[in-house]
Amino acid sequence: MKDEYIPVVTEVADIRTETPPGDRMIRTLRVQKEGKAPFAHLPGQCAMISAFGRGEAMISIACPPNGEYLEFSILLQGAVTTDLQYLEKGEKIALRGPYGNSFPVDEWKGRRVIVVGGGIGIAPLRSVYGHVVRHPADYAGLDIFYGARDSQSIIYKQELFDLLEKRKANVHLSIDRPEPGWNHFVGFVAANLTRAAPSPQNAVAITCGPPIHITVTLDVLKKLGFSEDQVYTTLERKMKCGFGKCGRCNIGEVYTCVKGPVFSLARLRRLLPEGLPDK
Amino acid sequence: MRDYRSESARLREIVSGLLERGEVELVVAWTEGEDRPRTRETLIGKGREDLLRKVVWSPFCTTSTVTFLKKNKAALAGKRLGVVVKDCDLQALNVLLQEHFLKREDLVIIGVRCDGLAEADLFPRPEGAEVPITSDGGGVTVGKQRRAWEDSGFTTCLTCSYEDMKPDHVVGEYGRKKGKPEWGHLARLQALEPGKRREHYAALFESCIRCYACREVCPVCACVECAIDPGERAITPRTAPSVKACAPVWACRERSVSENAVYLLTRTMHMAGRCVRCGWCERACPVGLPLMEILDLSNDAVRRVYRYEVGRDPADPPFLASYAETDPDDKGAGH
Amino acid sequence: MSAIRVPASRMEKALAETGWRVMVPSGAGRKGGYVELRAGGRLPRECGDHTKPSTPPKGLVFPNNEELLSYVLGVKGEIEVGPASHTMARTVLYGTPPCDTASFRALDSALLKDMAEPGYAGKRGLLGVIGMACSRAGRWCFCTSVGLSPRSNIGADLMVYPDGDDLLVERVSDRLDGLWKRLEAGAAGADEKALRAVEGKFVPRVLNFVFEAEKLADALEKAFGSPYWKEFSERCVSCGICTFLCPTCHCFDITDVAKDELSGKRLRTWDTCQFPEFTGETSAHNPRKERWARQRQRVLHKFLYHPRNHGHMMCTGCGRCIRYCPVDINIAEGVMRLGGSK
Ligand code: SF4
Ligand code: SF4
Ligand code: SF4
Ligand code: SF4
Ligand code: FES
Repeated sequence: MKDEYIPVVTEVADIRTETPPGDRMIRTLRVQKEGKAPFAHLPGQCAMISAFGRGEAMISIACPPNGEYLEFSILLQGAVTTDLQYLEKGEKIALRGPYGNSFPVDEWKGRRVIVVGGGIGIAPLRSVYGHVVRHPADYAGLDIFYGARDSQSIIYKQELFDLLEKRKANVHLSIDRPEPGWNHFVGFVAANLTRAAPSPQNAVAITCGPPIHITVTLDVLKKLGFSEDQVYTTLERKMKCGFGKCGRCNIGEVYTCVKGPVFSLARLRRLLPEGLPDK
Repeated sequence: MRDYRSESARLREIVSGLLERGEVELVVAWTEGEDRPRTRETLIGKGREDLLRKVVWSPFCTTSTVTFLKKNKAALAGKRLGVVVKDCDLQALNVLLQEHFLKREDLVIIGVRCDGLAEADLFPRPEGAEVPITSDGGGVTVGKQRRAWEDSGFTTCLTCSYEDMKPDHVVGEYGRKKGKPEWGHLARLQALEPGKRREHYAALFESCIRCYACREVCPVCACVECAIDPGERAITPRTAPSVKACAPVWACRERSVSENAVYLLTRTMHMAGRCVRCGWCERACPVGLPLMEILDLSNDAVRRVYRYEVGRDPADPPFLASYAETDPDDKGAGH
Repeated sequence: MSAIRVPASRMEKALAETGWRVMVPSGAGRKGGYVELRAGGRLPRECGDHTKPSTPPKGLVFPNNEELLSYVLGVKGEIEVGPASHTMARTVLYGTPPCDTASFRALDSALLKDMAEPGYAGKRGLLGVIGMACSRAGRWCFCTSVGLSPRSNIGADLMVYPDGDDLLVERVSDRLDGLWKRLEAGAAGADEKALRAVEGKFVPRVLNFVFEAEKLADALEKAFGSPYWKEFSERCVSCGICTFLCPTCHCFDITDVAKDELSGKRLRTWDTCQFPEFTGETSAHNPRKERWARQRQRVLHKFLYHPRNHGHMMCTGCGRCIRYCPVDINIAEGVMRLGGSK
């Protein structure tokens, strides 16, 4: 029988420093095992990454399924992520997974995908927009709304500017306060979304970010006429086991690590009020 | 002989008077629950006749209303409160007042004269509210069941020497001479040779399941963040990652003699001069560890060596924050 | 044949012959636990609340402290992971009262279904449970309110009903067939009628707490936002007693214990939804920051979530959480209040 606790040992194939060193540093680690992805995954799934001696942390897989590698964008946060910050290219990293459910990207074929990310919340959504970019013929279009507190905190910068230039997606970037040289939107993501007012017609919207970002985004989407089964989000919960046993990640009878972290708003409403993000 | 039904009636009068006259907003008192003669701490506001009717005082008021204040500190902040206390509760309250954890002017203290406590589990469930609960110098009686104080489950009460406290209101009169603070188990343990003593304590540490009930029920164990939790309680959204990453882990989650010892001994050290020997931790421990055998090591030093009496007066300086010229450790120190 | 009558001494002998480790309840109340029967020791002849130890049997297969793996790191960043064995000596639990026996149904569904928890799965396969009909309910018992009774055999592999110097033994599963065969050889059969007759002596008495099981889940769901949760939990001190001592509670924590800079182990330890940091995220967000939210989780997990996921309550009515709660928080009282029955 497979011992679910035993992680696979993989290699850090590449590291991108997304935001400058400091208390909110984000680095993207690309990991491989013998030149391939250590396991297959679906957009929205997560993996439990070990920092031995410190513990484990559940981190969403930030790249679309590709068979070649997995990527994780890791925000400096606590003990585990502090340790991971010191990993260098070529070093080993142990992880287990994939865990959780995924965004139903196959069901969405033929529709327009609208991504609304705040801060580090763009990371799990990248597995979706990356997937849409890889299969442009399958979808009716792609909008990416993404904002961070300042321009330095914008991650995947190069990739997003590329998508914009090559017209592979409508990318709407924003930062919270004005900055010299910033010629995109200034204000919160939700304000940017209100301004662009994408049509709910034949579309799905997915959002992730800090609880307040999710709450406000859900409000805006509702005003724009999106119905609750057109809106998806991924939730954060404290996780330890990752496979529905340790008992801490539940919302009502649903274990987020198994039947989440991806929820449609309609499904979230059917769960107990505990599931809705804090006001 | 003391009749706790009439003393309870007197207590109810005082409590309802305080609420009626608006002297306090809320009162923390014991009420009878489902599992009589067990009692529970309850928060009672004006108009809660349903709760007021159940207010009770008896040797089965074994929990601490001061723990209730500690646990609900944030919710009760700024409110004027009445609190019903036994002698040991008042001692604990004094410790918290000395440490400025609570403010005296926020409180109206109703003291009940206590002759000792008894474990409800040892008595049959009284069927009907009319079953009398009484006590005298020798023991406690519920209906037809009588038990000597010595067999009633609370060893700490036998050596409780605290009396004549000065609360704002008093209920009851002592019906029994208070004990002498002599703790037999210490002499017995200290007579053991070191190896045997080590074995004794190792066995004790080993059976701890780390439920932390001893810490949580203790009326004076009141730190916001305990040294034993791995720095998880006092985190705010603004806490820097480096602070979270560097939170010291004094005792890890491993259940072993050494880790459990770190927990239990750290607690003992932090209780020096603060433990009021209410014995609740020992009684709460679900695996029956004789916790007073650890705590009394420091309690004894505090009392004998430093001649400090814990929680006697809110105006006393806290033990660890005071200096006496007679401090034996200072004698002959060549500085 | 699925039931036989044997002298109690024969059970002792047959168990001894198997060479299996036998665990029995010992020392009722606070100091008690399930302990190994000494060679030649006597098996308990009856069971009830008066023989029920404070520590439930779950720790045998779900220890408070279990190693999950060990690791060694190289100075150049190499990682070597050593799996843990998750095994134990073949063991039989003997004389568990129906509440403790049934706890294995709840644990099995929570920890084995879908993806198995490796530590539990490894040991559970090596455990047999011989339940015993209960002859004395205590003042905190409410098994009859949760679909069990003093004579229910749920969770048992063999079930014994003491009858004078004899035992009626019922075969409930095939897990202990090795022992069953030894007992069966030459033993008198007991037909359904005899079984029912003895079984009938273990009658549920009128318990102190009664609520209607069926209507419960729906009523509790409606009570999710009830202000009563605050009153229910205002004196709770958030210790681990009600959950650590519960035979069905199984939440755990996973932490690393470093031996030195380069090696150490990963541990699984009991955890509880009552500790404030249980659901605390590193970002400081905590969905169950308040005591009443944590108490609500405990009650609803047992009477709403687990039943929805697995079809039975995650409470066996053993009464431990009521008896040992230091502040008299009474789950049955709460459920009666919110579940809208008498
Ligand atoms: S006896 Fe225990 S609970 Fe009471 S004050 Fe001392 S340490 Fe605290
Ligand atoms: S109450 Fe007992 S078992 Fe619980 S932590 Fe304290 S000593 Fe250990
Ligand atoms: S919830 Fe309480 S009564 Fe129910 S099984 Fe657990 S400890 Fe026993
Ligand atoms: S209900 Fe009782 S046993 Fe459970 S955490 Fe609260 S105080 Fe402890
Ligand atoms: S992380 Fe353990 S149950 Fe979900």
